Amino acid sequence: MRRSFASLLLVLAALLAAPGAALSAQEQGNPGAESLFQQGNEAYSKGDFAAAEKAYNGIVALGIRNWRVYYNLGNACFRRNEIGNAILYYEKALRLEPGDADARENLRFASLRIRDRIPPDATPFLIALLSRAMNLLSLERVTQLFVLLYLVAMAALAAWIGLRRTRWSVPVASLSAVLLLSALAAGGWMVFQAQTRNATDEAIVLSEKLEVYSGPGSENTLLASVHEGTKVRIHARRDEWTQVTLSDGRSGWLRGEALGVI
Amino acid sequence: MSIPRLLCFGALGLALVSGVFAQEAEIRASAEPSRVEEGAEVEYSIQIIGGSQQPDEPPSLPQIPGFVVAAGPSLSSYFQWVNGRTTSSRTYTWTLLPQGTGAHTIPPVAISMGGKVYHSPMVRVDVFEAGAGGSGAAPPPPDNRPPSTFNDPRTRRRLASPPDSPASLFVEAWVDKTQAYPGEQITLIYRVYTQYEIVQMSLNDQPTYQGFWVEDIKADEKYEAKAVSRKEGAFTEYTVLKKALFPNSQGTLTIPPLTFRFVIRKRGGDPFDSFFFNPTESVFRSSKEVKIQVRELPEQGRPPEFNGAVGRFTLSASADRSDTKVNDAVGLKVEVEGQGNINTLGNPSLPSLPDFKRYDPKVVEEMHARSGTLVGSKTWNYVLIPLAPGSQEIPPVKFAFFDPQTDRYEVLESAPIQLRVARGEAGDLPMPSLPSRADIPVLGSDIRYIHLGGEGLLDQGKTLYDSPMLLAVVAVPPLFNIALLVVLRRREKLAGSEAMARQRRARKMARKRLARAQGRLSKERSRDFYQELASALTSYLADKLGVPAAGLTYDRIEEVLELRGVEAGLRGQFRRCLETCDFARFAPAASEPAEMEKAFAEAESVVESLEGSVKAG
Repeated sequence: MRRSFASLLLVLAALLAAPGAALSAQEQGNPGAESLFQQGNEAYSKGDFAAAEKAYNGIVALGIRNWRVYYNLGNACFRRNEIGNAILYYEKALRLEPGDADARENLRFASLRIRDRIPPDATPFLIALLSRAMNLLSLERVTQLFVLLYLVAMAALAAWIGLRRTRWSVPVASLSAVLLLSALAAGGWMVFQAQTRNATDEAIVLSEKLEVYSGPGSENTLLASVHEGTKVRIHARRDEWTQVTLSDGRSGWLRGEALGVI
Repeated sequence: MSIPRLLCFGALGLALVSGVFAQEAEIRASAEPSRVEEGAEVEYSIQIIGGSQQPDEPPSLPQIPGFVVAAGPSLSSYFQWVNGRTTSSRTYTWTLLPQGTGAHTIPPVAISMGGKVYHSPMVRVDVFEAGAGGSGAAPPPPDNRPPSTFNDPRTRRRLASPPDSPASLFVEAWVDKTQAYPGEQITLIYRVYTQYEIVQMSLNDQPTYQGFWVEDIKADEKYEAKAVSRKEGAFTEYTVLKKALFPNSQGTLTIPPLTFRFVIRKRGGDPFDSFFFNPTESVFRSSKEVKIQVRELPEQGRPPEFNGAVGRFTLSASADRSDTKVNDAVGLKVEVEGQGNINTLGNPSLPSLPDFKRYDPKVVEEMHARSGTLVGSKTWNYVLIPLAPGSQEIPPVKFAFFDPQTDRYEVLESAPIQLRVARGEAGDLPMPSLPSRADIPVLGSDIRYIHLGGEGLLDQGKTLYDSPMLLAVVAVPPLFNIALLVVLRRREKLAGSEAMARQRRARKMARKRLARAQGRLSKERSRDFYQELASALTSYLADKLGVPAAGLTYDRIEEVLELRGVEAGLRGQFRRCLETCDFARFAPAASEPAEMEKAFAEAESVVESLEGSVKAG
């Protein structure tokens, strides 16, 4: 009986250690990307924002999505007065690191330069609060939290299986239940974060002015024109035309090539 | 209808009732006399005839070349009403003093009346040298009126004759230098040279010196007389005014003419005449204007402490005590002494004293003239509150000035002051006043700077969430747990069936053991019999209840039986039975077979009873 319990613990430890090792293996970055990042930072500090933008874009071209790269890219674009791109990159950085105060602040600052008026956020207070709480941790951290909680809950469950005929049965069972519920919540959070990160339904207008028509084609009625930096929600695509919803709720079609999908 | 319009109509009605209509005014101007000796006075009048309105403001004379305005204007008006027509006239009169000989013109004077601007005609006045001509006029009548009535134009008319020779009485404005630095003292002295007896003298107006800071050096009423001989002859010299001027701007500054009024008595040739008649007359004299060039203070060598002080100074600093306590005030006295404009001295630069609380100084100035130069001292009394104990040093106080005599800047430095500050009592801990707080001012706004660290630039597009690892992590533990559950249950099942078999066999085994005991029912083997009997009982109990036989003491048996719901009587019977066996086993004498029979029967009955009453575990 005692021997079996020891082997159980051993197996559990192995189970906990494996994802940790996997995580630490993932933390190592790409050396090429790092040197490009340093190049970009040096160019930025010298005021050569075009070179900085080029270096940061090189990292993006390597297929690496990293919020710090997007954030710095946003700054370089802002300095070059490319407000649309700056906003797009800040949004991308916030997708990957929703809790970053710098990116949020710079997005707010850059948004002051948008010509279109942005209606005030009408999200109910509790939802906004919840959404802010959800954004405190990035997907990576939430995933790690979930894995940790899940493994501990599973270990507790295993302990309960071992001890279910003894007087420890009830406390261990409640502990497992609490841990399982927590793991479930973290799992939900993780899936939500992943959904938000991977959403491709939002885009930023990159050209100075973009006409919105009632249908896919410039022969349709001109409904509105939107300006650089404005955020739109994408609904459908048809050839080079994209159906979007504007921030005031109006829907229309515009040429998609001047949109930057977040 | 607006209020101004109402007023307008009201005024019109009033004009109709009184029968007065607005008339064009006529302006006349005259100078009396039009030929005059230098030094005599001219009465200039402007008469406004007709016109129902008064001038908006009394006309003011422009700067008239060749004349100094001595008095005026005074106003006399005249009003007549004949046959429904009114004639009115207003006359403004000034007293002018000609300066220099020749033909002078008084330019037109602008008078604004009822929104219209009228101009007086030009007037010509010929001024000739004193004694050269026109002196044939009758000598002025004696005038014993006090000079206070001088401003009355009627009185003045009688005075308006060339009374004296300007060369016999004149005023000189003398300066000790015509080039100076800002803040450097210029001594200005007004001297009167006269060949007449001066009965009375007064300033016609208060002098104004634009661009200067002025200090009176001497303003006595008693003037010293001094006999001097000049090229014009013998004069009596009076020093009447002494002023120290300190220029406070650069460039060319002008000391304007200053007009004096004198009441003089001419000494006639006839002593009798002069004794009895005492003819006095009033004359005006002006000094000539003086130009002063004010140079810029040199940039070169200007110390940072320089505060505009010009002159020659000494500096001293002292504390009123050398031993003090925390929070006990110490007086710091800084004194600057010397010649120069003490009034305008800026504060000396006090060193920063972080361990002291400093209050604004009390400033004491003292100034007096010493041989024509202003000297004085300025004292700054600071109150310092020591905030920290220990040996404190007040670093040197610095004061910089420009010495115009050597054309150089000087920096004075006082000796440092040592202070021993003792620890204050517990009650008076330093309590520096809290600074008043304000919001941090917003000087600019910009985006936040880029992130610099490039280490661990991981691809957030391929995180743990995206890796198959997560699936494994999620899937493996439940599988493990299920496996664990299966293994444990099977093992428990096995263990459970074993116990059941034992339970089922318990009676049979007990019977077997009882039979074996029965085989030893003899006096010789009584110990074996009892041992077998006890073993049969405990083994039966162990098998029946699924517990190990080894640990079954009396108490444990009692406990276990109670747990299984066996009543107290049966429990006692079982116990007695066991006790009998144990007693007999260790008794020195062998038991009788009858007792053994009895014990056997009892054990059998206990087993049978238990079989019925013990519940399956």
